[in-house]
Parts: sequence; structure tokens; C-alpha cells
Amino acid sequence: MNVSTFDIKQRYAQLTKGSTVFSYLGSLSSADLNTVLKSIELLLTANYSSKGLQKKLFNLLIEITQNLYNYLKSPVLEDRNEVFIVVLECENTHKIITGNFLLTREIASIRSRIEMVNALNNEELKELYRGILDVGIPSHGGGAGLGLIDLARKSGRKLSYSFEEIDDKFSFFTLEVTFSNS
Amino acid sequence: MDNYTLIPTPKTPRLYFNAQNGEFEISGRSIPENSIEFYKPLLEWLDEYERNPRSETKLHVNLEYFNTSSSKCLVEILRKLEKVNEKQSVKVFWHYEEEDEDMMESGEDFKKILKLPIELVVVKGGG
Repeated sequence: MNVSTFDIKQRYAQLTKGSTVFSYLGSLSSADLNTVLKSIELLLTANYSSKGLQKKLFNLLIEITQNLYNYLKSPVLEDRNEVFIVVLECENTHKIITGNFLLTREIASIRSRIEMVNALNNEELKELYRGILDVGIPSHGGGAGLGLIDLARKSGRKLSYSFEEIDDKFSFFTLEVTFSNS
Repeated sequence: MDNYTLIPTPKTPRLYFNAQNGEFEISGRSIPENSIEFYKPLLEWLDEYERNPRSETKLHVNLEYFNTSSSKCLVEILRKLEKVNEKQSVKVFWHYEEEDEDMMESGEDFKKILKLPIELVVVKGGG
């Protein structure tokens, strides 16, 4: 892999070549987040007749964009604050793909959290979710990892992901959440 | 004791907590980035209510969307009502739209975790 050639715009362009339902590339300030959620909602209301599907998509997108937003608040990212959010529809499934930079040293912990979630079936995910919910608000005030479990549970599929090293400090993280339309 | 009420916004729910008749409601959307900050005053209000609750308290939860950080706050709210329920009667009604399986499952999550009578109420014909 040639680490010097990574370009988020190029990656975004590749992903949005086909028929996209929604796509966004940019930073994610509080105002951006509101704009993104608002445009997603307008789009869903205009283009989706099934209320169930509308809600499923919006639910997942709220969680995903807010996860990104919270993560990007971290000052360690310096100026690497561009992200993309892409929604594709193909063959009776929807795919939500997000991309963001992260510190290479954080990969191990994120990977293990995703792998842990992916190793569980729906019933086990439900038990884990309830267990964490039961513990209540963590004292440090942050999320306690409900986000990924929620995504896996609501989508009913395994989470796909990849990490690409950019330079000696940063990597690029792509997360894919897929779910069936019916 | 004063009532606790907040008007809804695109990201936060309507909160209507009537200390005089014990009728409570959380409705709309609960998707703020900082849920803990949003719910803290309500949790404090509930601490006070718990000291001298009405003989019957009813909470209607009627949410369209909520994020995972709100779900943790909802557990905290319901924990306060568990305490009220040790003294006086409490009933929780969890409303969900017929086609919204995720919202129904969330209701079941809370039902499983909490020692409270939580009734799932299906709302038909949401569109």
C-alpha cells in the first residue's frame, strides 16, 4: 500500500459513483451535524413511502453521525476532521458507509470492540445491550459503547470495517452498516 | 412543588411533569448530543418528587426517535420512578408506532431491566 496517496475526496468520489441515496463530505461541527440530519430527514420523507424503512434509516444515521461528531471533538485529530457519510441502495439492501481519520494507536481498541459485537448473535446482542443499559450513566459522562451494539442490533447484520494507514500517526477508518429493506 | 415542563425542539422531547396530579409525559424526539446535560434538571426534579409523590403517578413515553445516550438517561428516570413505586403506585406506558419494531424492542429492554409496571401501547396507523 502506498501510504502517501490516500485522498478522502478520491475515496468519496469512488463510493458515490453509483446511485447514492445520500452523501456528505466535510467537517462535522455542531451546525454541520444539524444540517446533515435535517437534509437526511427531508430526503427520507420525500423519497420513502415505507414509514418503517424511513425510521430504520434515520435511527441508524442519527447514531452514526452523532458517534462521528463525538469522536471528532477530540483535539488529537488536529486538522484531520473531514468525514464522509454515504448511503447506498442496492438489491433490496441499504448500506451506510462512513469514513473518518483516527489515531493509528486507537485501531486495536476499536477493532476489538467491533469484533466483539460481530461475534454475537441477535439474542446475545440484546442481552449485552440490556446489561450495559442496566449499569446506567457512566461517571465520566461519555458513551459506554452502546453505539456499536445498537448499530449491529438495529441493522441485524455484521458490521464491516477497514483501517488504512495514512502516515506514522494517522489512519483512515471506514465503517459499513448494511441492512435489508424488508 | 412546581411542575417541570419543557417545550419540544427538533432534537429534544416535550417534557411535561405535573407534580400536582402525577401525570408525566416524554414525547417527540430525544436525540441531543449531550443527553446527560439535557436530562439533569429533570432527574433533580424527580429526586424532589420522590420525597412526596402523588398516590398515583403515570408516565407516558411517546418517542419517535431517541439515541443511545438518551436511553441511558431514560433508565435513570425510570430508576427514580422505581423508588417512587416503593411508596406509591407508578405506571409507565411505552407508546410505539405499529411499524416501528425497534421502538417496541426498546420498550421491552426497559421492561426487562426495571422493576416497574411498563405497558407497551401500540399506536396504529402511523402512516
